[in-house]
Amino acid sequence: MSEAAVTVDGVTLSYDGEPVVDDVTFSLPAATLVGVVGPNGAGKSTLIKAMVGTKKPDRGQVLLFGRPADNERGALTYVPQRGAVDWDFPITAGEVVRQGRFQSTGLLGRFGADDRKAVQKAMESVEITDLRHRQIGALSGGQQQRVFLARALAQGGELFILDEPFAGVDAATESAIVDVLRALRDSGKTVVVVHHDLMTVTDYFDRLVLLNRNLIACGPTNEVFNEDSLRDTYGGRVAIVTKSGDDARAEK
Amino acid sequence: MMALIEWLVAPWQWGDWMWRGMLTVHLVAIGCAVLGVFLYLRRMSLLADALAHVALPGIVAAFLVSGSLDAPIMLAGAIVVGLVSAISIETLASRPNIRSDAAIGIVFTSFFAVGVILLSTVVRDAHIDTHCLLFGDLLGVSDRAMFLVVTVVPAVLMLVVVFYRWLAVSSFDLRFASAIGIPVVAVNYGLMTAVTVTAVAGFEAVGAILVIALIIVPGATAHLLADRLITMIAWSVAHAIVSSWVGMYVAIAVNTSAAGAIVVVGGALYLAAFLFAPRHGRIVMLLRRRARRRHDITPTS
Amino acid sequence: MLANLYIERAREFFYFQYDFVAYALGASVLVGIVCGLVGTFLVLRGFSLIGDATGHATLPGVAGAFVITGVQHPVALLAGALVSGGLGALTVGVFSRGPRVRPDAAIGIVLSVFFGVGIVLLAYIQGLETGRQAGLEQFLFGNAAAITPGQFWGLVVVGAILCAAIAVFYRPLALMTFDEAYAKAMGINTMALEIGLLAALSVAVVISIQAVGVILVAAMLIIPPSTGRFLSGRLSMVILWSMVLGGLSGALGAFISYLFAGVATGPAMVLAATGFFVVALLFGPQGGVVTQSIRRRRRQASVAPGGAS
Repeated sequence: MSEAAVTVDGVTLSYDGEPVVDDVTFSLPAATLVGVVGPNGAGKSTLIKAMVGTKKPDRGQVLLFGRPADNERGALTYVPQRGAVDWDFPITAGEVVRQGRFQSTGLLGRFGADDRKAVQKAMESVEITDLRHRQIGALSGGQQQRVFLARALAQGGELFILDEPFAGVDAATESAIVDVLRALRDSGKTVVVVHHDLMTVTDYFDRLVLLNRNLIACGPTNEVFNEDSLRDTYGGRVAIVTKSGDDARAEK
Repeated sequence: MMALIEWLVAPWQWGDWMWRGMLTVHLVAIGCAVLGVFLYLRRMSLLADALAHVALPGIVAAFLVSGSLDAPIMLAGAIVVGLVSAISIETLASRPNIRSDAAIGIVFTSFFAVGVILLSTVVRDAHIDTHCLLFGDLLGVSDRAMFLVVTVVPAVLMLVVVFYRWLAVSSFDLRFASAIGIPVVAVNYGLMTAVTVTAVAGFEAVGAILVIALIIVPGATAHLLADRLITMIAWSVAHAIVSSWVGMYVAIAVNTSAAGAIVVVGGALYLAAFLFAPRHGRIVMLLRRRARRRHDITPTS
Repeated sequence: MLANLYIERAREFFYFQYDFVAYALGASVLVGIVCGLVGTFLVLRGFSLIGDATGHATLPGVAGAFVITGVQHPVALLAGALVSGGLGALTVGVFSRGPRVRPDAAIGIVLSVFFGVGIVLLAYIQGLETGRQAGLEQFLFGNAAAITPGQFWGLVVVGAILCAAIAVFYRPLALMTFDEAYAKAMGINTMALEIGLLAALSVAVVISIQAVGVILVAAMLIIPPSTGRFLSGRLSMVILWSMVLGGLSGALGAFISYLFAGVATGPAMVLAATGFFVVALLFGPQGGVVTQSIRRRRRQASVAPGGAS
């Protein structure tokens, strides 16, 4: 077996001393399409932040391709939740996609022919080339999500991490995005997706990480996606308690 | 026509002060307008208000420590106190029961109160002119004030050019910015430092209140007109230049405060954009909505 | 020797040796109470700095009233302040709605542009050479000692009416502050209530500017309510704390300002209020820094008695 793309080793993450992810360990093989599933407040987004390197674990470590995550930033491409940006921002769809190249061009590096080609190809693969001169807020939710996916594609990398890419998008966009993610996996990339819709889980993902503060299960979808593990993940009282905790954090 | 040209040219012949004032106000206005765009987009406009106010205690503190009012010492004092207040604001705002606007209000008024008290007691004999710090004196810019502006503003603009990509990406999408390795915290404090330095450099010439207006109003106007960051910056600078010119001439014509006149002209330009901007102006939006309603009704009737 | 001077001054203050001291003290306490009351609703709605804009926006009214009437009559000046302050508060409301405008920038725009108009008018007055503009500049930082008995009782009456009005509308105001959409669904006219609150804010600001000045009045609207939030989790108690601490800050400010020559009442009041705030921030039962860390340590101790790590 090839080396794991992501290794999460005994990771604990907390806000204000309250652990939201507690001693989680798993690893994900390369060239797979992985879903991270769990109820609200299960710590999915927080775990993603630790993989991306924007939140430091209290304990444990995250390895990407066998090396500490900080050294492997160049290999990682992140698509944040769509809600986090400001739709009034004066920026066109094309400019958002161009931002994907800023990691390699640096501050003052020239935006060369390679960069332009990568941007163009990324826009073509999610079919937004016609929209490139539109201001980002003038696009529909689905089109906006395609723009952010295109930015990730333009950036390139070996590991793609997407935080709820299907939230608030129409069915056509959802299937278009899934097609792109599958194509990425088939070309040898590892794709990790935070996901909410249990109906589509078996259809979309090769592997699952079931999370509810602790790791419930991790493995091939057909093995771990069953009634027992779902009850453990979403079990009655726990879901309600953690939800209110989530709301309290959201207010901050 | 000739009379108009003569009227426009005349002030330049009355003495040095006209070109000195014009040069100073344009540099300050352009520097503020460019930084203001980023502050506006980051929803940090009111931090400009706060930083401009806390510069006063900064300057006073620098005088207390060093006993001098040299430009570099003044700037250093303002930067230190500005950063302390920015950090206090952020620390306060991170508590669950303090919103960020309340944090700004608490910190800058407290700092400002300390500054006012120190000015009226311990450092009464230092020649710090509160009136001048608040309102500026554009028609009598001192060598010192002009030197400050001429050195500081071009340096700040250079930094904006160099760090443009970092500023743009982190203003638009903070999470993506930190994921691709942009030092977002450093960019944030760098921007605040740049605002403080520009504000302090502009104080003596244009006063604290005009500095606040020059930072907030052009960016807000430009956002009503632009769909791209670079065009927004261009509109913002255009707003700064037009209000500086018109304001200076109005001030000369009716013999009033130049800083005040520039602010008023800038406010009028904002109002015009708010009402008449081609796509997002309120009048245009109203007409469009009415046209759409008529369009909706016609087919059914 | 110096200590004797201060003791003597303190004695004068507490025995109300001079009438103006009593009126200055009364006016400062009134400011603290009224601002504490109105400010609580603003702070809880996330509109803290609208008070700052309103305070600065009173300047053109004061100056304009002087230009129009040509005399420095307090009623005319305060009426002018009320008109332009209210106009400023409403303008923030108008500029904050819809696409491509930011509420925070709207506050900054109103604050600086209205103040700019005020500066233009002040400069014009200076040009008139009536030599009376010195009185107007007092409005910048406030001068409680200059308040006459007549003015003081006027302020008391207006302040009492304001408090009564807020008491009458307490329930809908509280509901709107907590959940505007729900209040609207219950049939409360939130628009009218909003305008009413902004009007109350303008009145509170106008009552205050003689004592604290237009630049620092925001502090008295923001700091005591923020202090109250650390002391109680109930709206009524937050309001009560805010009014009590606002009043106390006013009294302390008047005292400090009397004790130390050259210290204006406004900044002294603000610093007193900040002092209370810092204490509450550290030791307040609702999320105080020290309180919280003690609680966390206790919880951790009870969860892991051995202290595993």
